[in-house]
Amino acid sequence: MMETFQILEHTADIGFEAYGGTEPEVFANAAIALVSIITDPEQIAIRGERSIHVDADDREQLLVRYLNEVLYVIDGDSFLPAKAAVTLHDNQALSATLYGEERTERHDVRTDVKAITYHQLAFQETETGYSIRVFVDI
Amino acid sequence: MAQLESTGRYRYRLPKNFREGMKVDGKIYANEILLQAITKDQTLDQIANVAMLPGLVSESIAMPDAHQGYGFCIGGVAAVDPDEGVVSAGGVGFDINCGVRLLATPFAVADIKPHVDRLLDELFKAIPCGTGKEGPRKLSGKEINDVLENGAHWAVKNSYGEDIDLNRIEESGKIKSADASEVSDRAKQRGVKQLGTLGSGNHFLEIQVVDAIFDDEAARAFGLHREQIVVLIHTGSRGLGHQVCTDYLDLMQKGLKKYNISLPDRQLACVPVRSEEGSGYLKAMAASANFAFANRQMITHWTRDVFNRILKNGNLRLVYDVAHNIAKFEKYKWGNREREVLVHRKGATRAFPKGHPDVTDEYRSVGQPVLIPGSMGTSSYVLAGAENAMSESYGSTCHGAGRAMSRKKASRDITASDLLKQLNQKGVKVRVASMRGLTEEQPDAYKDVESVVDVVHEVGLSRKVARLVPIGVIKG
Repeated sequence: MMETFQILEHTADIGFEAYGGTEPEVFANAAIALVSIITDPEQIAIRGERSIHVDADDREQLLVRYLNEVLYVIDGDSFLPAKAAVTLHDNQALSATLYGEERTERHDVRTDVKAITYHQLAFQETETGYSIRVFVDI
Repeated sequence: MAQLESTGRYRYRLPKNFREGMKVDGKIYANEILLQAITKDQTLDQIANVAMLPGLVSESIAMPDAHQGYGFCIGGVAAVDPDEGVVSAGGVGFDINCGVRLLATPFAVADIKPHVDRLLDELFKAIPCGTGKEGPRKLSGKEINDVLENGAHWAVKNSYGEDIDLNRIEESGKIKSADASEVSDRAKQRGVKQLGTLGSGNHFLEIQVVDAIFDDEAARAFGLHREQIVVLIHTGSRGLGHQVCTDYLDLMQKGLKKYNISLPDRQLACVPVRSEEGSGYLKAMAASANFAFANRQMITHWTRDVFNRILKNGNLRLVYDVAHNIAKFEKYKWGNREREVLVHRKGATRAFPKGHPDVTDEYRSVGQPVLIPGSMGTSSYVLAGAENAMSESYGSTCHGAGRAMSRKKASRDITASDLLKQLNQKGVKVRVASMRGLTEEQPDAYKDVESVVDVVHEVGLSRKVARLVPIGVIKG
């Protein structure tokens, strides 16, 4: 199976590169890469869902706003997503459903992510589809 | 490419022809070893990028603990003209008023030694730490607004500490320009549960011993003496500040177009200081800073409570509380006249010297206390602000050791149990919420704090007063 993401190094913080065969897939995998910095996605059961919708002026902003929405669901709403399904409306809007469960003591939450950054942000077409690179502040 | 030039001992200039678009030079304080670390990652690029911001009144400054951040480097100082310059949310960072506070106890190391384990266990129970832990104080409806506008004053009014504490906090623990209505409901939602929590990452509470005094007069004024037990608290504005920065970075992206500002890195997004967006940010930032002052005040109260329960004396004197991430209007001299500037400190500490009117009365004869946390298990320092900070660095000095190694590498290099063993051998007991978080913060992941403070001492931005070594650590 194709690798869905990998974690990247940065002196003070941390980032990831997510991969996907299609654009919705790479956006969905980026959400789970973000979750993996916070906790182990394998330990999250699917018992509920949250919907998000984001508009933006360009694709970079769309990506940052989308991941900040996912982060808000995790930190503001205490909901941990294990899976995401994304529909891109165009380069400037997307809807996503996040599947997972409310956070409990059972989850080993390793760190807070403070925010998503524009630092070295990249969205690229690759031989097998698409990749997204994002650094987050922790 | 133009190269760094040495302009004197521990001083370097990054000339403005280093990168097209730089409006001013960069200025770096470092010794040769620290400079090597600074040139290894993207710190120089970030110093150069900051030098492109509109309205800077002089150099883009980097302290000896500088390292790569997002937009601004960590350890960066940038002062702008309020009428012609910009304010950047990234120039303060996501953890608004991440800062440090020092408590002096009436105990000597010998009094405490038999009780360290119990103290740590009880502190770990009393102070929510790690991620997702909620604070014990449930705020009612609009009470969050009171916290945001009154900071540590709200905390003291609600029985978390004493009136006298407020004299010993930067801005007396309440930035008056704060306006809770500029803070989004989302930020309040993220913050309301986290008031009175330590958090994760590099945030900590340490029980330390004063191990060396370098300046008797200042140490006396700060109430510090050798062998004394002190408590150092390092935390900030939690999810509330993170969300305020996120919200305003987004708003400032639009501002770039609106105000026709062109920058090499979107993370530097900024708007004119006097614009509606700029004014909104500064009010929301001040509110977040107040949240952080209240947060540290509540943690102080619980710390005193634990000492009182176990050692029958909770009289822990607040020495001082400083912000490491903040933007403030301050006055500086230009020849014969005084001029107001907006100083961004991103991982830097205010360091006002003796005689400065904003230094609290009881410390005015020696200078403002500056608190420099080292990495876990190594020394921390108390410094005092010094004169050159006013003429060279907009009243600023360093803020800590500064990371030198990525978190992933730090975790790969040592296991949590080996690290705990090593710390234990050094006489440091640890209580930790996340074992993985622990290895990410291992001492080798940081620069040598001794070199960092030696540089700022030698160049006269601040002077060494006392060294503190830990015997107990609580980490998120």
